[in-house]
Amino acid sequence: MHIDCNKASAGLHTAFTTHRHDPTPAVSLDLIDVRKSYREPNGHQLPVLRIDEFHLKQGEQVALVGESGGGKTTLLNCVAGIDRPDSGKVVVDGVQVNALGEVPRDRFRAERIGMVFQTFNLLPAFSAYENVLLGMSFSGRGVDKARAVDLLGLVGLGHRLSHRPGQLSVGEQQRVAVARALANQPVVMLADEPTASVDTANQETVLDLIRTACTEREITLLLVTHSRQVADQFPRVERLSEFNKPEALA
Amino acid sequence: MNLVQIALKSIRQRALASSLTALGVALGVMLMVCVLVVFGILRRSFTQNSIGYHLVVGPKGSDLQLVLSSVYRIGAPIENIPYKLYEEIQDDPRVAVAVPICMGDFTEEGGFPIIATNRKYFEVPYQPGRTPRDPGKSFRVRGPFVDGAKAFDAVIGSFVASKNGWDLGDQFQLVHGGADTDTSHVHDEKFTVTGVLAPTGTPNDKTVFVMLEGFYAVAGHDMPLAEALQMNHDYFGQETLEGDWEFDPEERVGLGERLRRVDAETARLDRARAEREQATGAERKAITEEMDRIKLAREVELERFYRDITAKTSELESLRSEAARIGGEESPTAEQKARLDEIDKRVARLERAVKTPHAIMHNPPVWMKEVTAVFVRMQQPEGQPGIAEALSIGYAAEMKTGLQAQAVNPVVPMQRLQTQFVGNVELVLFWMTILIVIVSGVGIFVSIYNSMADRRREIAVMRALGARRGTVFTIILLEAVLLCATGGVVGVLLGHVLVLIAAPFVAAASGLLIDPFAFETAELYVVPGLVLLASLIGIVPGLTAYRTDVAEALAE
Repeated sequence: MHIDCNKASAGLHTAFTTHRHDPTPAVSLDLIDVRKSYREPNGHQLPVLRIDEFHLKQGEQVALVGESGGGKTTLLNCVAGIDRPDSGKVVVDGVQVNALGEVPRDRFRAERIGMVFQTFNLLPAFSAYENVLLGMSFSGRGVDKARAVDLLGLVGLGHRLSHRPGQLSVGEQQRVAVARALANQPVVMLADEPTASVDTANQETVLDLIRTACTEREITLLLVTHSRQVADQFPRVERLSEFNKPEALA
Repeated sequence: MNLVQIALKSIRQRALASSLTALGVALGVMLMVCVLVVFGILRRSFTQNSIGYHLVVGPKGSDLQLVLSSVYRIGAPIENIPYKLYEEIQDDPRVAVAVPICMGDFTEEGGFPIIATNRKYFEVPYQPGRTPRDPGKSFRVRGPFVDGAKAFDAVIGSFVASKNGWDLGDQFQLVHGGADTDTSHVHDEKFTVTGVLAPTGTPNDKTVFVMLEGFYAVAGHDMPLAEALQMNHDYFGQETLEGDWEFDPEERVGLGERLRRVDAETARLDRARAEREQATGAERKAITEEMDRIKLAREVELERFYRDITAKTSELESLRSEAARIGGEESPTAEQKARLDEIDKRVARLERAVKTPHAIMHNPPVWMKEVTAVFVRMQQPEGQPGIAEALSIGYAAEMKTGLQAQAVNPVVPMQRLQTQFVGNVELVLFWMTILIVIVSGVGIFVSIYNSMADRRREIAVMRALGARRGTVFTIILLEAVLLCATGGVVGVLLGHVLVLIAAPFVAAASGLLIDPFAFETAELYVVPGLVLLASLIGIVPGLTAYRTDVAEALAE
């Protein structure tokens, strides 16, 4: 695995927006010496992540598989800046996310990360259209209503803009979630078992949708799945246990 | 999509709970608005010149009792003052209008107070204008009374008309001393309704007005002779007779003749007064001086009458006690018997002499009439605001040092009452409604705070989408503010709707006229106050949102 250390360190000192259109972006996601433990109720530390190196190139699509409780979601949270590793570097699009303060990290997440969850996490009070707009509301780039309509059209829900999540099928809900994740033109898409709650008929559709959208937009995709069938469709499949050795921290 | 829209969506998501909590605030605010409106009406009736007069003149005593009884018709009047004092006030050049009122009787039906007065009462606005150009509010009378009034005509207030079902042409009798007292009795004389007042929102709505002439003609409404003389002497005896006039102790005239002279002077005075109404300039001044001379002459006659009758009464009493003493002897001497005969003859003569005044009188003479109070409006030269008020202050001060009467600016004791008592009640009620609103606010707090557990995931999703901690805190705060502000606005509207609906019922039941569109300045502070309250309420649930652990909440 390879890491562009110069670029990663430069990200610490430079506004992250300046790297958005780097003409030769070789690496989109770097994890270097990432360590993460949780404190258990009995006071003991529970090691979850110990990753020496992990890299994704720009536009690369990787399926991450592993056992439950293996740290997959924690890894995604660290990449998204929702959680912070105890040590190490998480560099996304040239910006060391874990070195950012909370407010810039929130903004970074809004502008560069797209997230798709297993349970969709759509807000029930908002229509499909409003859920997509909500994704744009926190980015600081403003709300682009036409783009929201286009994205819903892209996921095949152009005719269900005003429907609320409760009025949509699970497959449709996940498609809204995909549209919302694409709302801010992210650099990295993090998908946490996006097909696990979708019926078999829709699994293919949702997966195709995510992959096609990422391919067309050169978005780096890191997709967590338990499904071998899903993983088999990816050109690169990473088993977390092969590069994450938390037991060594114990 | 801005934060307000997001907050509104969250409120809509919990529509029932949100509506109920906002309704709680609305009901609290509704009560507050009702209290503000009702007390605003009460305050105005206490603080503004609630009658169109500068002064109320009555006997010395509690100024509050004088104003409450005469203006607001609450409680018993202090006492009466001589009619002649009313004449004095009326004739004072500083006085523009003086209206006498007599009280003490009530209607048999409904127990409404009877006010005996003259037509001038209805010519003065019952509520003065706020500015010199504002004519104020004048009485509107329906019925033949407008064209002229006879002695036994009556005008009834709107509430009396509706409550008793009286209308033009109906007749009624006066009850002396009130319908519910042991000493009350119904007068025989009947009064006829010839005028009905339009609602005024003042105590006039609950009053029956009769003409003074009719009132005095009712048996028992003239003062007892001795009382009249004593009052007359107390008020005018010493003061007015100081100066050039000397008594002629040799002049021996009967009591009846003296009274005829007094009545003759009164008739002259009335003629002079009528002439003065038409006169201007020097002629008016001359008539005024002539009136002063007539009054003095009348006082002299009255004082002589007073001295004569006092002397005769006193002699009568002393002779009666002497006769009783002699009669008590077991075996009176011949000398004592002769003295007893002499006493009997003298007593018989004296009794005849003392009875003479009663015998010759058909209507009570002016000095035997009394009034309960006099409403006074001072002269107000055009373009010189404040003159009337200044005159009234000077006039009241004069009356304080001179006669047995007092002149009171009706606003002063009422303001005192308002500040010391009614104001406190208002304050207590106001704070109670504020507490109700705060309790409603706590309801909003509980509602939002309870919802936080269910909304952890929602908040975590927004945070995952890039919302800052401050953003989710603001959204929660906005929810509280929107709920409180909506409740506040709805409450203000509901309050006025309630007042609008209740106004006719309140008017029918109590006679209190409520302007349903009355807006109190304090209402302007309700919504901003609620926004402040909501900001405080929203802090704790806002902080809960602020502290939400995103990773943990997403994993739940």
